[in-house]
Amino acid sequence: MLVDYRKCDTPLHKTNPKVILLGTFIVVIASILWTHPVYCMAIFAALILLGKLAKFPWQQIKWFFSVIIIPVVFIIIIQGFTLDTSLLNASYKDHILFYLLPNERVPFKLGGLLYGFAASLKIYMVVVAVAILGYTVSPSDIIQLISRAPFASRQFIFIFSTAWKFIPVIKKQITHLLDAQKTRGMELEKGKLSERVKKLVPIVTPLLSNSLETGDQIALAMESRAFGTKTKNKFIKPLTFSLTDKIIYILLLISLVLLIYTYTLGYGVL
Amino acid sequence: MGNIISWKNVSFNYEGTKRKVLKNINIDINEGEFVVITGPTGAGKTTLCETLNGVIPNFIKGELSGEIIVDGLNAKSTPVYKMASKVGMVFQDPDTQLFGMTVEEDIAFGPANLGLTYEQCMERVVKSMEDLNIKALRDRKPFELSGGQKQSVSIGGVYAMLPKIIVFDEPTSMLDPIGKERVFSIIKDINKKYGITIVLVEHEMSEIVKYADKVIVMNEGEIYLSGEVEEVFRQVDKLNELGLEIPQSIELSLKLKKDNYLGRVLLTPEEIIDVCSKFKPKAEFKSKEQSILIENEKETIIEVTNLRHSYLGDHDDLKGVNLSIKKGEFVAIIGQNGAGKTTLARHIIGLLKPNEGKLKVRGKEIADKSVAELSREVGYVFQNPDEQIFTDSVEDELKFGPTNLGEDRDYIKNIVDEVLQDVGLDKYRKVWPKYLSKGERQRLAMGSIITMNPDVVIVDEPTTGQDWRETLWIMDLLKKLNDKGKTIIIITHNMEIVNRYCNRVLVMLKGELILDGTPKEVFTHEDELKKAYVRPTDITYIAKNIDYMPDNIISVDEFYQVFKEIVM
Repeated sequence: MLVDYRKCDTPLHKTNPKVILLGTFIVVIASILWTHPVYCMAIFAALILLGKLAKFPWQQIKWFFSVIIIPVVFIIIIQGFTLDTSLLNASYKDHILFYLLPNERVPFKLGGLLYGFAASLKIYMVVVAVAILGYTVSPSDIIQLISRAPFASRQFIFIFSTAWKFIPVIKKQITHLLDAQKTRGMELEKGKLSERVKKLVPIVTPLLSNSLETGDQIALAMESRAFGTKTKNKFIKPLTFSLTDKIIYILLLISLVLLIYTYTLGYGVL
Repeated sequence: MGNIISWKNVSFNYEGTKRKVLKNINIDINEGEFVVITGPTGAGKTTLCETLNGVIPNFIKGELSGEIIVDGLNAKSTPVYKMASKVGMVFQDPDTQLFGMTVEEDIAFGPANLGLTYEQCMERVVKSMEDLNIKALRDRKPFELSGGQKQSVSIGGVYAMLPKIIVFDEPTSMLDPIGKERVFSIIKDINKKYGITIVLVEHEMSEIVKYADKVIVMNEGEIYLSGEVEEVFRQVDKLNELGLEIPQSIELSLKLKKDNYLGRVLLTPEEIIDVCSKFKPKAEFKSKEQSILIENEKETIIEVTNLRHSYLGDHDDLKGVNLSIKKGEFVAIIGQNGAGKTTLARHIIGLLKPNEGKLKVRGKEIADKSVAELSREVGYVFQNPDEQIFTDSVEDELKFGPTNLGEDRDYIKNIVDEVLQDVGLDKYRKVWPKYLSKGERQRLAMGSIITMNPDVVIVDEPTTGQDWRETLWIMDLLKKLNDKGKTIIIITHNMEIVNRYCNRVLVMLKGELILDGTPKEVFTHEDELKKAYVRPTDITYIAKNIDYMPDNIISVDEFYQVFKEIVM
């Protein structure tokens, strides 16, 4: 997760996780279907409002916004020059803003620019929506939601949750191994990229063997707590829906249907 | 109460090996008993416990002979999941036995595996949390808890399965003193209040002799001694032969009994205080305290000035630490987890950069030096040897550091040969380090720093999880280095080794250095130590609580001499 879950007293944190998950799903669907920047901006603005409501720590994803700014600009430029605008509906799609080369060669079209801008916005939309989901819904609730899916067996859920929990453990192990290398005189920051990568090779063996050992110990502890019985119980917490949750959930479902229906009528499409 | 566990003629060897790790074991344990199994590393303690719930031979394969009856079930032929409702197991490392995303889910893991419904699971969870007093942790993520809290949750998860027996395999070896106290108190309650039979594998005896009904000492797969606590610990010579730690209260008690001061062996410090307080002093004790601080004219090797550090930026983890360490000192940094001990040490080796303040090594500021550059002067041995062993053989591991430093071949060959001897691993020269025991791996980790020949060696918790013999081995190795003029800094929770080996103690509390002096000086500051959750050894505690004894006693022999002088 880009941003870790934090227990807060905000309306979003109090909302049923299923509602937030549905909301995130709608943002993802919208980002797949819509190509019009105005529609995308509307969703993005709504996400910013929701983020404010959830006291979302924007500082924590600032780095992400700045890291992808270069690919975003690149996408917009490439689309402006190369997009086949015959695929678009907008009347201004072929309006040429300027030419890259003399003699009216390689035009930069408004249609391509707006399409590229929408595509970039869609990246931000999805990232912000998923980050708000991660910030307002605890990992435990997310696993509980996954547990409800018919495909999720106990083993699947267990593997999923264990993997989730062990990411920070593995990260910590890697940091320790790198620190230990430095204290043994290894200059990790010096040399060409290829040399620096080569210096990381020695940590692979201890990382793997430590992970295997950890896996063994986990298996032993699981076995000792009766994992492996044929029970189909998944330990699923009953979900409680407040009246507000129910209303929002129904509204979101209607929005999803409308989104798809209006899309077939050409709304949201550039 | 009748038998609940019975091992009859039990022998075992692991798959692919012929060596018997259990040899003809015959023991009976009664329902509700608190039994401690101790012995040196590799004695077969864990293996014996793993036969109780069928993990051996169902999960860990091998040849198991004899009969193991647990609450009427044959542990050899009953599936592990069925045994799990009879026998719970709590292991050493809490991180590998927590499965839930929250504490509540973790405790429900076992009951859910037993096929209980959500409501039934929750009933068990609530009962477990109430009985073990961990309700406040209910919604916390297990991985965010302290070591002691994590282990309490592990116990809660096992307890929620309502077993009749709980086996604890060195449950406190990775915990700080507060964590240890918490876990021991839970184990005691489980046994005394709720009547569950306890089998506890443990090296540290001083705490548990207070609660145990029976002690079993194992060595090389056999029962070496067994019986009631007093009966076992009376045989000091036999225990010494195995290199086992004898609780200071018992050691003192045996000495006093030998001289007829006591009529019987007393097990706990409180009993000794009670009895010894009744003696009337005949002489006033004159202190012959000798200063063992390093002389002032020695070179200052580490100088820390107003060191501040903050990990998250919202509070200081080090709050303006000032400190200077002279060449040849043997320093212990003590204090609770989170007090800033490791943070301070990581600054000295350059792994952390201060937010404010200066650090000098041999008079030169280290701000612009890389960790690798500093490693020529300051060596750092991490707490977990497995996180600092990189190569495929013991020999290569020792070569790794000096090779990185660009030393020539002859030098490397000579120093590796010398260190292999020093750390006692010469016969394992070509062996894959993973095949070594934990104690040997710790020695290898230390050896790999010694080959770089730094002036200062910092060791983070050198004896955690080691048996007493290995603990002394490692500390003797550090002492030899100290005798050669190296400055040694250890971070530890073991006050006994602080008393035995260190000539200076730094006590840290919440990022501040609150005490600095010789062990004798530091351990008289009862109030500050309490604040820092540092508990002096039992012998200091006993002396402090007997009116006529001086309160800076730090060894059993010293107590005994002074006591004889005063009361005779």
